Amino acid sequence: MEREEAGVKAGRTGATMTEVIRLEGVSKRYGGGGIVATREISLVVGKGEIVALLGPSGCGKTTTLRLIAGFEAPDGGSIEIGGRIVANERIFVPPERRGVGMVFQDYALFPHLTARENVAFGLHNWNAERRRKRIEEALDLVGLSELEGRYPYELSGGQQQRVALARALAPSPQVVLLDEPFSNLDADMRTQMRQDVHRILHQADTTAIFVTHDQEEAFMIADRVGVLNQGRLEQIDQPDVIYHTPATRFVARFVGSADFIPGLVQGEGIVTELGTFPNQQGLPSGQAVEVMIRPDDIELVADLAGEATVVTRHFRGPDNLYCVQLPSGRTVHSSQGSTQIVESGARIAVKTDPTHVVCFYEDDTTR
Amino acid sequence: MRSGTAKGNTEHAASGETFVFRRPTIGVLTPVAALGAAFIILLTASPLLNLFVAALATGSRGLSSLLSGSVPTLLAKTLLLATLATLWALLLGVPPAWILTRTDLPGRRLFRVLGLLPLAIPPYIGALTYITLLGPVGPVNKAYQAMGGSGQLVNIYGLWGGVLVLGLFTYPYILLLAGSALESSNPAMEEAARAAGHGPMGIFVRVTLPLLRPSLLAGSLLVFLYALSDFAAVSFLRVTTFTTEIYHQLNTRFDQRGAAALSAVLVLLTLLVLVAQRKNLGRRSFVQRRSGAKPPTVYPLGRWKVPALICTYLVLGGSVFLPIALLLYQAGSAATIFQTLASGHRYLWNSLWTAAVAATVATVLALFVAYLIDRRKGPVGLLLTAATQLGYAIPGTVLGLSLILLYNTYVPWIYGTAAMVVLGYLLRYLPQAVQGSAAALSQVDPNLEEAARGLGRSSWQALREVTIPLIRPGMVAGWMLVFISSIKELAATLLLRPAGFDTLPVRIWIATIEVDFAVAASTSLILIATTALPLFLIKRLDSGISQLD
Repeated sequence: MEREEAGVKAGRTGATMTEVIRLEGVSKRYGGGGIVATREISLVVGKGEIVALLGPSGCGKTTTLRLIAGFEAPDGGSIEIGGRIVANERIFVPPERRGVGMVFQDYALFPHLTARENVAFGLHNWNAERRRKRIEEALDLVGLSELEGRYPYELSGGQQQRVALARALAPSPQVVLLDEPFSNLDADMRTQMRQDVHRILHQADTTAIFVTHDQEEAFMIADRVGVLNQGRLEQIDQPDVIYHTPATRFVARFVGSADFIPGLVQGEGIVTELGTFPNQQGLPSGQAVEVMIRPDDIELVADLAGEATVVTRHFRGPDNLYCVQLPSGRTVHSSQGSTQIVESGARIAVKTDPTHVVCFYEDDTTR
Repeated sequence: MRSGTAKGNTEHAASGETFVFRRPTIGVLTPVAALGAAFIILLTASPLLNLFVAALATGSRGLSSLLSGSVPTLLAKTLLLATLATLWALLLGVPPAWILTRTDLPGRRLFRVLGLLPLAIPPYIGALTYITLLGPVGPVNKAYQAMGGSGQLVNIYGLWGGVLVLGLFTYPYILLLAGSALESSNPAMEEAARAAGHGPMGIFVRVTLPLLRPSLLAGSLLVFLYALSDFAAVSFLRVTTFTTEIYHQLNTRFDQRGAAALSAVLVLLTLLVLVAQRKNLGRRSFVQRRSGAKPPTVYPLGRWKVPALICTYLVLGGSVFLPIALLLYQAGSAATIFQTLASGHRYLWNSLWTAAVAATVATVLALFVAYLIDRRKGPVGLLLTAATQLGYAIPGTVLGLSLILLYNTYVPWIYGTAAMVVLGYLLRYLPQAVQGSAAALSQVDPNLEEAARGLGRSSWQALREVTIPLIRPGMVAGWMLVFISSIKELAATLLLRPAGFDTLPVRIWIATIEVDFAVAASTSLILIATTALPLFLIKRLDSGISQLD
């Protein structure tokens, strides 16, 4: 499948990529087995790679992170960190011996310690000279050297997060895990911190896994994005691949919006209400499919004789989101430039030119 | 701390590799924790269970004669006393609570500190001072007779005296709880009522008071339970209640079984009150969150300043200034006090070390209990909570009796040593220590421990380096509460002390019986001084805790 190919592309060092994290069939249930948090998750993360786990709340993304950190024990499967098995049916290495850095959603800074003491906390086994140097490096990296004497409550949200990051990075862990790292920040602060964290993680050449429910965030920071749904890892790939060729309907809907219109495979083409698309997957003729259409795949052309009607228009600043009714009564969405305004009720023609034709058929719907 | 459990159940592989074998015991108690929990439950619950067994051993005939005879009247008297004392304490506590938090009364800060002082004055000392003042040969009655009156103007002995004294020396519970609730209340609610057209009086009745209900209920409960359990003050004031009757059965009639039966009734009564309160609070446990954004509205007093000041002075005067002035007068001079201290320094020492040991053990146990309750919800936590709260339900007299019954039978080598006294304090006041630790612990995010684990600390190291430093103020406050309560405890000490082992309260008791009021007064002053100091330290700590938040 396409995904395999993308997976190789994703490894930044190509075939020589060193594995840092390997999850194989990791499952976790809560409440006496009644609630399934993760189902057989398999995942490989290479050195220096930043991976985002994306999904709605309750999809198991935080549980996956806690399983890697060692705050939870899996019910099945195995977890390797740096080539060493840290959890399987027989083995469980406690969190303090995993060499994993963690940044918590609420940062979990120790309120009784200064920023510097927080950063130093993980370096208790280092000798004084190395420790001092490392603390300075870590504080420098996050740009907080001047505020090292402050207590957490004397720092702003963004500064607290930097301390949390410096604290996690200071012991040079094999991997840094970030749990919803930006959700506690104000909107304007969030954009800045995303860029900063991305820069810091790359500068430190750290392997990182972070959890988020925000697709934009995942795309901005991560080299690869894994989409989770009901405890299952539905797809993991580079952001553009995830967006343009989602593996499942869930991924298609969760990552950007999508409409699905029915189509029928006829030889080299897939015939739909919006025109004929190339049959890129080589599906057999006669196969009924649903083709995914993104709002940016649809162009509206002012045409009084057009067969489609504009139902609503939502002005969103950079663009207008139109809801358009097709002759069959089905509606699709289209995003158009912010200056291109067509009033609702107007007749228009619809042009479609998707670069990737993604279609789902019966076999897929169970996924 | 789930992972902590995992670690507790694992072993190092022989090869020295850092992996460990995992057993599927996540979320279950470690053997050490289970053992500790079992020990604490046994320690706290066994005296009471044994008491009930002893009460039932009275036999049905003895029991029924007891129940039909003295118990109904005793029950009525005790309940009447407790109810009236609670109402009186509410009357004394609520107006100053409002005046001191919500008005611009001059000097309100000082008043609020002084308002705590009655907690340092045990009600039995209060009873002594009021007996001095209003007793048959007290100045009030003497003046009345000098003016030509016959007999007594007031009679301090009996129910009304008990109500007067108990209310006067327990109202700070209400002042404290209502005061902090008033302070942290959200001004928007009162502003909303104002916008709806209510004046200050309407706001108080329709908004402030209903919102205060949980804290008033909690405060009243403390007063009510205190009144049920009080022994010394009511004995001095010659009020017959359950506790005095139990003591009487035990010490003059030597009827342990009769005493046990009475105690069982009293414990059931207390438990009933506690359960009712739980239910009531469960339904209406609205707690106003401290918004922090805006302090509550302060009302200018205007021409009400003088009445408000008089009200505050009257309450404080009756419960602080007057008793202390009377004690100083009775003690005679500073020389008497020093003399008492010099000749009785070993009583002070006995009081100090027993209370300190009890407080320390209670704090250690409380940390363990609070940790287990907070971090591991489940049946064990519930059972532990119930077991450690038992102390609330056991008046000192009953606790003394049940410990005597249990330890005299099963562990006689402890019986008759000062360890019994310490044990009595420990069991009776463990709930205060648990509450101190639990309240502090609930403020500590479990994430902090996980963060420490992730940074290379074992669960034990995380507890020591992160959790304990953070909850230290709460633990210290708990320690001091237990210390204060223990050092004031008279009933349990009287029953449990080895012969000749006198503490300050015991000396006061003996001096009063021997009508040596100068010694009673100077010993009382020494006791008040030793309890007042930690009390103010707690108040300081309290603000320390809120700063940490």
